[in-house]
Amino acid sequence: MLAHLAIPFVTLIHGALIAVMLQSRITLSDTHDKLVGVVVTGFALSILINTALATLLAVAGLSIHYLLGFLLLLDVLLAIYLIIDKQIGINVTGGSSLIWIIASVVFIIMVNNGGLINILADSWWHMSLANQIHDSGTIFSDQHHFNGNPKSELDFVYEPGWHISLALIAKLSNAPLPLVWHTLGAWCSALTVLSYYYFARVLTEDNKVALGAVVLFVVLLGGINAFFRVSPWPGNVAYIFLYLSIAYFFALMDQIDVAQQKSIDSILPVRVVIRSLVQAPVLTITTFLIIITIAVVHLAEGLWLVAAFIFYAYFLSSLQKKRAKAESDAVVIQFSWILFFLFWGVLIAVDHSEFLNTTIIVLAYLTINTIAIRLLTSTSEFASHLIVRIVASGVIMISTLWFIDINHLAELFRPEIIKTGYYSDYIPKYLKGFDGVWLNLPKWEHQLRVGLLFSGVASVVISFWLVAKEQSRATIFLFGCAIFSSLILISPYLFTFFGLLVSFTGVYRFEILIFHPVIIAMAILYIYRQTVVDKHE
Amino acid sequence: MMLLLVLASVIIVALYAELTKERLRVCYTVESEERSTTQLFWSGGEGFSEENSAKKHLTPGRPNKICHTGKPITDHGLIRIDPIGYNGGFVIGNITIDREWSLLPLLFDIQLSTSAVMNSHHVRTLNGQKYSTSRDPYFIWKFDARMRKGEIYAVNSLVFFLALAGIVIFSIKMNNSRKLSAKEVASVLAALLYFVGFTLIAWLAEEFQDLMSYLRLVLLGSLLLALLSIWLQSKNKIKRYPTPALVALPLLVTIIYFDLVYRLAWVDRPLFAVNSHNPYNWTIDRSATENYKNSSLKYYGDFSKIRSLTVPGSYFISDVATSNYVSAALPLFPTIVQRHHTTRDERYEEFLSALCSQSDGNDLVNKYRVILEEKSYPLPKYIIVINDSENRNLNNHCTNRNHQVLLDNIGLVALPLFKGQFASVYSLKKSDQVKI
Repeated sequence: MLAHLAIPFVTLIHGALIAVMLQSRITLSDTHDKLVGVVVTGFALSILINTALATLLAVAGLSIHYLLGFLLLLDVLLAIYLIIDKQIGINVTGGSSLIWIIASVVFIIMVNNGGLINILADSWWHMSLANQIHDSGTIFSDQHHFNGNPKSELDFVYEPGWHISLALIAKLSNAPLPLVWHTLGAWCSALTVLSYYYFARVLTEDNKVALGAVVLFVVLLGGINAFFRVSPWPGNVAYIFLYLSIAYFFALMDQIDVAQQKSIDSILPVRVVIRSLVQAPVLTITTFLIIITIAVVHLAEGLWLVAAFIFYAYFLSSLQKKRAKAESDAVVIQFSWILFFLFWGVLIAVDHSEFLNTTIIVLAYLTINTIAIRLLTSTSEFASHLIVRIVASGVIMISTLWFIDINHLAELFRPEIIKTGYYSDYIPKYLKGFDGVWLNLPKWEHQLRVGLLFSGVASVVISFWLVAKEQSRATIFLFGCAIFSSLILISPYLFTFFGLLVSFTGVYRFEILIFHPVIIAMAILYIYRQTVVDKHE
Repeated sequence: MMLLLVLASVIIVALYAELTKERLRVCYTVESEERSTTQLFWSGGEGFSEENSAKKHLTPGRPNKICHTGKPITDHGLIRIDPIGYNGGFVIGNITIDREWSLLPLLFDIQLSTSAVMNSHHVRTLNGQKYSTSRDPYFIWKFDARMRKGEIYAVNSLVFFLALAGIVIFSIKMNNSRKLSAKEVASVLAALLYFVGFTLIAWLAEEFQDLMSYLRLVLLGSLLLALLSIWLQSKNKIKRYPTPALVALPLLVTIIYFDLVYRLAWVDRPLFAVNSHNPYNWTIDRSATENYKNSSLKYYGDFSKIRSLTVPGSYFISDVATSNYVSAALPLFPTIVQRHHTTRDERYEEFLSALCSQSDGNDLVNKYRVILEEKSYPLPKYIIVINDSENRNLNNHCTNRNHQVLLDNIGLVALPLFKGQFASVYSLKKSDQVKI
């Protein structure tokens, strides 16, 4: 019980109070559920504030446990400020009460079931890091928290953002870390649901689709029996911030007015940042703060965020003729491209041989297919010839068949091949590429199968159907993410390429970018609206 | 017209295939005394081969159900079951040969017969219990079956030639500068896609074979949905019912349904899996109580006392579960951890196994000396043992299984430091104190 009281104090209240202040200074459309936004943003800001202050205290040589007193003071001061400044408040117009019911049900179920699992898993490794911070009162240590190997104090074994809060909750509640971990299951699950709803609603601009997506998220993505149970793991906590940051990115795009720009291509990324800071400073800063939160909790999700927008940009630029909100979107997306190539350049500098081989093939594939997709979507006279279209389609099909590993894809549908529970299932499998380079592919282990079989796989096809029916921001984004994420999981070249960007054991997490609950909810609502008579007609 | 022709062909072929198909599903149950494998062979007269067989590992002490639909079993087939691969007792039962599911499961889910053994080899029955007298016992059954694949191929070929004819006719039309109508193009495409569709149906047929009850439920649901939509249309509540919606909606509902029933553990295998699959370890049906049992929560009383008795930053030897529990609670470092958490040093594991094995003391002391002499690795200071038969993460390890042996041996290499309700800590002896 004490842990249940300590969790909101450490991870929610101060951030939420600041979020209330920030949101009264941001003009958001009615597609944003403001209250949900405040709660989820509050969670992100709390984690970030805890991390920042704990780092400062550690640098000053003080115990991070002093932070608990400071947080109490901060809460009181913020509350007084909000009471005095009566103009500040949450505009709850357009909010959904249903999402709170769903989140409450999930919370209650998870209070009973909790975040501990009855096998040994990485959660203990994370609790060990939290225990080290708890015992030493600092985030700096010259020993590895788990195996005791000596290391530099500035060499962080893992992003400490989440573990700092775990240590603080344990200190405040005086509860053992496993109990804290178990209790967090309920909070993290409810926050995951709220964040997913916020993301789906901003993306689709449709409350019904968002609610449908959340229900499907609970029952399909393993909400009931998988991801909720492991929701206190740092990687899964970062998903909450990933969904939120995507929503904020789209809000930011809506705010940037580029209508006066004649050519999108002439917009430089630097000018985009300046423009967003001028036109929507609070929103820009909030968005960047959430991205920093991702970085301090689980950096890989930061790459996922950039990747999601690159995938979106790829198809957005190919579907220009019917794009919706494309101009402002393209602005931010170009910035993502620059970040991506910067990342790429650094990696090339770090590792030449293996990386370059894979990169060349990925580049060749993307270049050929970009041309083919452009031809298929072009309205020019040349491109409208039947033979051109057949050749372009053939090129896409043949190159993709060559680019992916069909046998690997087939393995997904044969769970017997996978012996779950063995160490070897958690590392990627190796195979030899045509040029003799060793390549990697993910083992179809539990999380992948939960997500992909078989709603995830089906949703890739459905996303294509949706984008063919209607080209909107939502359909293009969902289609782009679904296609590229599934390609990464079945193409040894792409998987190896991304494995070099993040750890090989983490690339499978691209699965999360196949937003199948949203895709299926959109499809069902689309069919429903096509079929059922509207009473207002 | 072309489209209608093709659609009619598809329906005829699908019905024909289903009504004449007689693929068989073989199921049986084996209970073994030892870890072993069971193997099913089938033959259409060409003899038994590994290629036409299916093998499954047996878990001893409980009935293992094996179901298999192999490659088509032709006329006058033979089935051979090698129930176990060891010399000893076993139980075999529930041997059934079922007609495989059809598209019309309500009509054609008929069990043919339980088998009558034609031949058995190296199997004896004593007091109702079966015993194998060699490592290769087997039973052979004979049965009749038919496969009319030839006719199906004939109809398939007909559709294919219709598609080819369509392409030729339309090419001529296009040459004469006549634009094709959407229906004309669609009819050829449908004819071509028919093969993909047929393959898909055949493939799905194998996948759904064990989910008869769910298929019936889906069929019933679809019928109710159709009736509901007819009623809604009559009441003008549905404006139209476009073809894509007719295809897409049931597909979506089916997708959600099959994912959901597996995730809720209502069926024990995911779609596309032939055999049942262990549920995920974090399924909702595992209660907090069960998880608490398999975690370290109840050891914290002991841990708080250990904290005051041990030197922070020291290393300890224990099994993997204890290593995890202790390092999440105390400022101590484990030497034996899960493989993906650090490079595993086998010397510590060998030492721990020697500690709880019935070998002579020399072996244990020698293994400890190896650790003592190695300077490049951290020298462990303690041995920590948690004895808890309820905790599945602990009770399989020899420190729990052979706990008394460990207690008998430990004096050779360590001195007792703390004995709690669950956890015990032993201080490892220095090199000059270790004697046989």
